[in-house]
Amino acid sequence: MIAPILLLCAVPWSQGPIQVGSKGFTESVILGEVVAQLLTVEGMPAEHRAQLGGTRILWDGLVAGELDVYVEYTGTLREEIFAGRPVASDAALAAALRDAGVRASRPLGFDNTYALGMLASFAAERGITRISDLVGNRDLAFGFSNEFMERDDGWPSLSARYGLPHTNVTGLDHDLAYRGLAAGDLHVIDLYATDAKIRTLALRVLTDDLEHFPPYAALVLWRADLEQRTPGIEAVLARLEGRIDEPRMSAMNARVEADGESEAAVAAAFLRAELGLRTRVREERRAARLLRLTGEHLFLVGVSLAAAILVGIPLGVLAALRRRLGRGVLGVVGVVQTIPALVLFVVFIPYLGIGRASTIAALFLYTLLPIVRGTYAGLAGVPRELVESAIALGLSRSARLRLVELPMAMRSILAGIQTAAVIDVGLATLGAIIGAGGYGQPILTGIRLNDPALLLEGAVPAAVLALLVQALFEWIERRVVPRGLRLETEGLD
Amino acid sequence: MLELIQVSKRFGATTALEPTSLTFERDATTVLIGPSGCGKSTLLRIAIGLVEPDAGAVRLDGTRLEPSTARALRRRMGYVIQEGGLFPHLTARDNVTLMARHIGRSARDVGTRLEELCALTRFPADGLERFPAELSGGQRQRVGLMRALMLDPDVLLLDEPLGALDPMIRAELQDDLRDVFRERGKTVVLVTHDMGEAAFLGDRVVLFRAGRIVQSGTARELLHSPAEPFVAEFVRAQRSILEDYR
Ligand SMILES: Nc1ncnc2c1ncn2[C@@H]1O[C@H](COP(=O)(O)OP(=O)(O)O)[C@@H](O)[C@H]1O
Ligand SMILES: [Mg+2]
Repeated sequence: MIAPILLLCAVPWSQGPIQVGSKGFTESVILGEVVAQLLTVEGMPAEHRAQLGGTRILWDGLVAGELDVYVEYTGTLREEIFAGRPVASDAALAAALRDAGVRASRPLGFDNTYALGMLASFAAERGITRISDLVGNRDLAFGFSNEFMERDDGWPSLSARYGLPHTNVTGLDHDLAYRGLAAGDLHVIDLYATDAKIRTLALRVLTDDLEHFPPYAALVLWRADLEQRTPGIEAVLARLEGRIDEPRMSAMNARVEADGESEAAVAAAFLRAELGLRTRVREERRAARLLRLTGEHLFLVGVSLAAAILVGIPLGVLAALRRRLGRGVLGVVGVVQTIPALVLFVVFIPYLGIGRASTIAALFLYTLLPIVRGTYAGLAGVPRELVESAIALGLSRSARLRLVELPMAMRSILAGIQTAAVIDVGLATLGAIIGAGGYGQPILTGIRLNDPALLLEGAVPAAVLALLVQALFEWIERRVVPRGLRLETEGLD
Repeated sequence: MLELIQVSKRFGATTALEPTSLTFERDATTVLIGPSGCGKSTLLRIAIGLVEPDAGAVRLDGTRLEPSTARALRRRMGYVIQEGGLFPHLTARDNVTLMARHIGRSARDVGTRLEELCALTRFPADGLERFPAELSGGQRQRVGLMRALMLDPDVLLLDEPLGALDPMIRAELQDDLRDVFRERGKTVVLVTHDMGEAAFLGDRVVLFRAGRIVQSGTARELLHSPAEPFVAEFVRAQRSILEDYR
């Protein structure tokens, strides 16, 4: 029953504009904007599906055809996507991409590899420019992100490679590392070569003179079939090759993260300055954005909840009518509930693609349990003597259900639906991770940019919506639950 | 005529009813009496098909009660339990008329019958729009009775219908029940544990003990010629303490 709805949601991207994806960090979003604006201004309408969950979602989306273009890093291709395959040389990597039906541009110019950084002033004072220079400064305090402490190419192999003798090495949260650096408690931290903080904190990136870190050159990936669908796209994308060096990328990152400009505006400024292109940036007003997000969120909740009601009530009835089967149904639905929500959101991507369809499928499964359970409990709770009275009257099974048992179970069923709806509203915010939009979008952006105001722009409406849904169902209960039943419980108070 | 032919029932290790045969004639009221747990309710529930007997058969005017005939036969029987067993989500009127409307009786016929029943059971017409929770225990019992009588059944089965009522209301309802039972052509089976009630309402009284019939006859017969000591004992225990003060 739910399948046609999901397919309907999945279809629109097969024709429409070129789908440009980006990952959930600022640099990727800026580059996604650059690509989308460039294509659009060159007469190849493109849509940017920003800040999707992660590498796997983007790569799978590209291969499956839900995405047409996105910017990836050579290091990620080698270490993650083609991990364990012989793709060390550029030619081998290009061949592996071709086998997957993917084409790649030449590098955009910058290398966003892991790097070590110091305050520029302090580095100058000590005369340090390269990682090798650290060897003679064994008094320095190092603070590394936990990830860097553990990675294959992280601290253990780095210190071995360069023979670094330092013992004052702490693993800590990245934000704290910046603060420690600024305060002078730490002297050397790990960072990305295009980190926005390089500019804002005036950091010196130490040269990796022994070439320990694998390169993370950025390049544009696109589906091979895009060249047939949009002839000439290769040449357009090629205009970005070699145009963005590390300082430039780091500056763009800083304009978003430190100065609060939008990714779209920063991308437009780049295209104007570098390629002389005038792109139109559609800056959405806050009210308009809230309206759009509300619409998207309501769609996700509405469709998934409707499907869960349509399936959940009959399942609950079935469970109540056939007790043995019922235990099975409740068990299965209960197990679904124990699957971590994030997993459930990703599980459907291979079948339903990124976006609304997968999100709705996940929400549907998650909201099923309270409805099935509410229906089952309501029916199982009908007192035996009333069931028998109905039988003794000579009512058929279905008439008993319709005239006696379901009306008596109504309150429990509604309570189940209400719980499901409130869960649904909250959980739908996760849909943004796989590109379904809704209130999760500003929440994700707010987390990424460490911007509480933006975060609240998603969190507050989501909370308000949950309260409204709750109130709505209380109103419905007053309308739908027979007065006689309400009298009964009032009598007990 | 309602017949129970060698019906028996066990629940796990307990025997609720030994193989028992009973015939209930038209225009007669039979009262089943006996200590609690002796199988009275089980017998009644077997009669209307709520409990399937381990052996034996139930026949109504010759038609055997089985899954294929159950619904049709049940519509010819009315069943009343303690507190009336009313559906709390329906008003008194809807409780009474539910089945008649479900099988498509016209609104006029239903209305006429409802008026008759209100008169018969002396239920106030303004109480029809109330929900069970808004009615007194006695009123609930009258509604339960009306519901059972709505389709003018041949058989009326009542399981301790007055058990939950206080003595004044109880006496009043006993009078009304007797009027109802005198309606033409009815076969009435009533379960009680009160010997006075049995004597007042029953043409015949059947005394049970541990799932088997001990004695069957008029109340007078049970009183004056008990078949075994247990009968005399049961009757004596039922006698009002007040009588000792005479
Ligand atoms: N559904 C049941 N499951 C198990 N035991 C039952 C059930 N119904 C009745 N019994 C048992 O059968 C016996 C007869 O019960 P019942 O017919 O209700 O007695 P009465 O109505 O005379 O008090 C009792 O021992 C009772 O506990
Ligand atoms: Mg009983």
